[in-house]
Amino acid sequence: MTSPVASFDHVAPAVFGLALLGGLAAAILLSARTRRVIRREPTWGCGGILSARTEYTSSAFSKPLMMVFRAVYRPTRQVEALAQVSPYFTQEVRYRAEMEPTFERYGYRPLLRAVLGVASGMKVLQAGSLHAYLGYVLAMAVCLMLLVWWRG
Amino acid sequence: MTPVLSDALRAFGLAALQAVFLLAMAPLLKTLIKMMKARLQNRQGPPLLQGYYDLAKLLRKETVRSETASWVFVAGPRVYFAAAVSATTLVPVLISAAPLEAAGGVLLLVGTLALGRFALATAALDTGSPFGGMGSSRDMTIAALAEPALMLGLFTSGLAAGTLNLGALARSALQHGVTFHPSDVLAFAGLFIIVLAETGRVPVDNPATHLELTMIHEAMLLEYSGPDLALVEWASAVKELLYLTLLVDLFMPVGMATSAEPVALLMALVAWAGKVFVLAIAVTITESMNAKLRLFRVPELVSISLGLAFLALTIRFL
Repeated sequence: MTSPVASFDHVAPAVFGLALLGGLAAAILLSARTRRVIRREPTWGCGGILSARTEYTSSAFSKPLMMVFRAVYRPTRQVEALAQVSPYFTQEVRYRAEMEPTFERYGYRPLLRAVLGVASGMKVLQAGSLHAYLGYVLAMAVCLMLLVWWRG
Repeated sequence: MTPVLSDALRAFGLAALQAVFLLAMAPLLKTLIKMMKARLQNRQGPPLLQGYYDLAKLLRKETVRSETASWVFVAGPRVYFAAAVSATTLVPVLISAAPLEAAGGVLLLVGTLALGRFALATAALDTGSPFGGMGSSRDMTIAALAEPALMLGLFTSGLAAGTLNLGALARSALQHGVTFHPSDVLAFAGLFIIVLAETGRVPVDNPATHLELTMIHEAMLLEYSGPDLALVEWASAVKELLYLTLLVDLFMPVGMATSAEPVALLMALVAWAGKVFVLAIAVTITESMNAKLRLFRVPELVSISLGLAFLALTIRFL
C-alpha cells in the first residue's frame, strides 16, 4: 500500500510542526481551568529549608555521566580535613576536584595548533606591507591577462 | 481543492484519529501491567479502568505550584505531552502506514521523544528541589546511554529494509513476515531492554516506588499536581504504548491491515491488541522477576543492549 501522504513530501517538516502544535493545544485544553486559582506553596524539601545551597548544581547534575564515562574523563577528587587539636574537630576542609579535559587535550588542541601553524606560515604572504599587496594585485592582473591572451 | 492540500488534510485527520486512539488505549496498558503484576504477587490489583479514574481525578484536582516555579515548570508537562502525542503520528499502528510518515522516520521519532524528555528534565530543575534535580540528572544519564542503543537497534531494521521511514519499515517487515533471522532476534532483545529503560520499568527504574532516593522518573514529577501531573502520567503511558507498538511493527508484523477496509481494520485491531498484550506480559514478568538495579549498574545493562544491537547490525552486513 502506498502512503496517502507521499504527494506532500516537500512540506512535510512544517506539517510535523503543526502536529506538535496540535499536541500542545490539546495539552493546554486538557489542563485549562476556568474556576479555581493556582495555589502557590513552597517547594517541598522533606521539612528542611531549601536555599541556593541545596539546589542541584551543574557538577552534581553531570556527575553520574562523569562516573559512567570514568575511563574518558578520569575524574580526581581530593578531600583534605585540617584539624589542630584532634582529627575529630575539623577546622577546615579543602576540596579539590579535577577532570581530565580529554577532548580538548587530544582533539581540539592539536587541531588548533595545526590551524594556527598554517596561519602563521601564511603570514609571510600578508605581513602588512602595502607595497607587497599592490605587487600582488599587479601580478594577479598580469597573470589574468596572460591567461586571456593564451586562451583567446 | 488542490490534491496536495487534500492529501495533507487527510493525513492530518488520520494522525488525529491515531493519536486519540493511542491516548485512549494507553491508560489501559498501564493498569493492565499493574494488575498482572499484582496477580503475580497474590494481590488483587486495581480494576482494569483504574488508569482512567486516576487521570479523571487528577484532571479535576486543584493545581499546586511551587512559589519558585517559573514558566519552564508550566511548559514542561505540556511540551512532554505534545511530543508524545505528535510522536504517535510517525508510527504505524493498525494500518501498515503511519499518518505523517512523509514527515520523517526513526530520527524524527527519537528526536521528538528527546524534546519531550528535555522539557521535563528542565522543568524538574526549575523548582529548586534537590529531588527534581536528582531525577532529571539520572534520567538524562540513562537517556544518553539508551538513545544510541535505541538508534542502533532501529538502524538494524532500517538496514534490512533499506529505509528509516517507519511506515516503509513496517511494510517491509509485513512483506517478509516473522523470519527469526539471528539479526532480528538480537535486535529485538536489545530493543526490549531499551524499552524497559526508556519507560522506567523495573531493572532500571521502579514505577511504584515511594522512596525519593531511588526514584528516577517519579522524582522529576514530585512537584507536580492536578492536571499537570495528569498530563505527564498520560504522556508517559502513551510513550510506553508507542514503544511496544514499535516493537510489534518491526518484529511481529503479522495481522497488520494493508488497506482501510473495516474487516481488515478489525482484524488488525485484534492482532495489535494481542501482540501488545503478549509484550505487556513479558514486561510484567521481567518486572516481577528482577530487582531494581543500582544506578551505576544500569550502564552495564544498557551496554548489553548496545552490544546486542551492534551484533545484529554486523550480522546484517555478513
